[in-house]
Amino acid sequence: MAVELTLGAAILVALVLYALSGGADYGGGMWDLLALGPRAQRQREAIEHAIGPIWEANHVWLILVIVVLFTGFPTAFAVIMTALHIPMTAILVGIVLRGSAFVFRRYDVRDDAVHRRRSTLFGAASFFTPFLLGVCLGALASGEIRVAGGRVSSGFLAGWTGPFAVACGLFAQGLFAFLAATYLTVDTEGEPDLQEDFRKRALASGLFLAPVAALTFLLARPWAPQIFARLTSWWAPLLLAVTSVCAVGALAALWARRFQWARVAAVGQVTCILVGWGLAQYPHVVAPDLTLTNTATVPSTLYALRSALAVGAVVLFPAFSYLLYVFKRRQTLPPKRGASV
Amino acid sequence: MRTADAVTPMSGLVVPFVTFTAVYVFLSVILVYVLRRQFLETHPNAPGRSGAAPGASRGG
Repeated sequence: MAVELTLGAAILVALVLYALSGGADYGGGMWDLLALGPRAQRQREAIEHAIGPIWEANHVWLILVIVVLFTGFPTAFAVIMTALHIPMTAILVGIVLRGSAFVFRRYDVRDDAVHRRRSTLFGAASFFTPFLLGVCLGALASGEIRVAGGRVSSGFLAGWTGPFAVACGLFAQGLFAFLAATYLTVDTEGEPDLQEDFRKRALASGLFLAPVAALTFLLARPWAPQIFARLTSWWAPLLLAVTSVCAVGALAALWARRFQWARVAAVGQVTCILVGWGLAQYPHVVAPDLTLTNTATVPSTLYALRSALAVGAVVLFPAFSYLLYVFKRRQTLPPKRGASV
Repeated sequence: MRTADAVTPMSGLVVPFVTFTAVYVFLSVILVYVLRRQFLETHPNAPGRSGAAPGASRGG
């Protein structure tokens, strides 16, 4: 079990990092579309500056999840990609359109109607892609995707069209919007009016999350019973307590304008939620038929993959830290639109 | 394993095929448009640019 568990944990860690980095990018896109008021243009510039140089690097985590899945757990990969073919295709289109719209907009020359349309495309893709990511995770937990003889037997609509999956989608959207707004309060340090705009957005989306989280939890009982049952394990109240402390702490810190603390708490909150999902899901990859053990490939591949991940981590983590360091250092310079190439 | 045996059991594969083709055709058109616009905007003697000298030798 040990090596499968390690690889499963690596997938979860990569998902958490994707949510914390890429998730905030999606959230930034949402706030770009929702930029309102007299400072709408400056809000967009702050968002663009925050996403700026590392926007495509964040997808590294999603790629890692997919590669570990198809190398280590090929049966699970085949089932997930078949059963969730429709939302996965839409996610892929969303990622492609979002990235392209962002780049076209960034390197374009004029501010006019065409420019605006690209912003709309960027924002719209930023809304529906994380929704579908949440829907897919919800579908894996729903227990409605069934497998017979290594093949999907429940069709192409099972799981992801159910109420629980839709609630998970809304929850992911809200969470990413909240995360992005919270990050942006730190990024706009030195521009108090902008910072106040993002503070209000963070508070609003943080408050929106509470009923959505409650709804998701309540819907889990009838629509994802196996996962719901796992939530009565010994670790569940503990995790729920930590998550609540982080959630309330983030809101309190935003309220008190302690933005650094708010960011730490928001990171803690997102991490707890995803780890909670992972623990509730364990040992299933696709509840109830596929587990880490019964979808794992031959041991030699698993061990090789584990070694490759260990070596990769030695390269990836310092590289990513350096990227963030360089990026954050740039942040202290006065943001100048169009100054970068 | 032959390609025909490995393909997804999903029916109507023509739909994602057409979708992705349309997405990339759309992006190609936009790319050409953006490059053209960038060129016209930055090249002082490009044809079509307002105020450009007619028959400028460096245009293209």
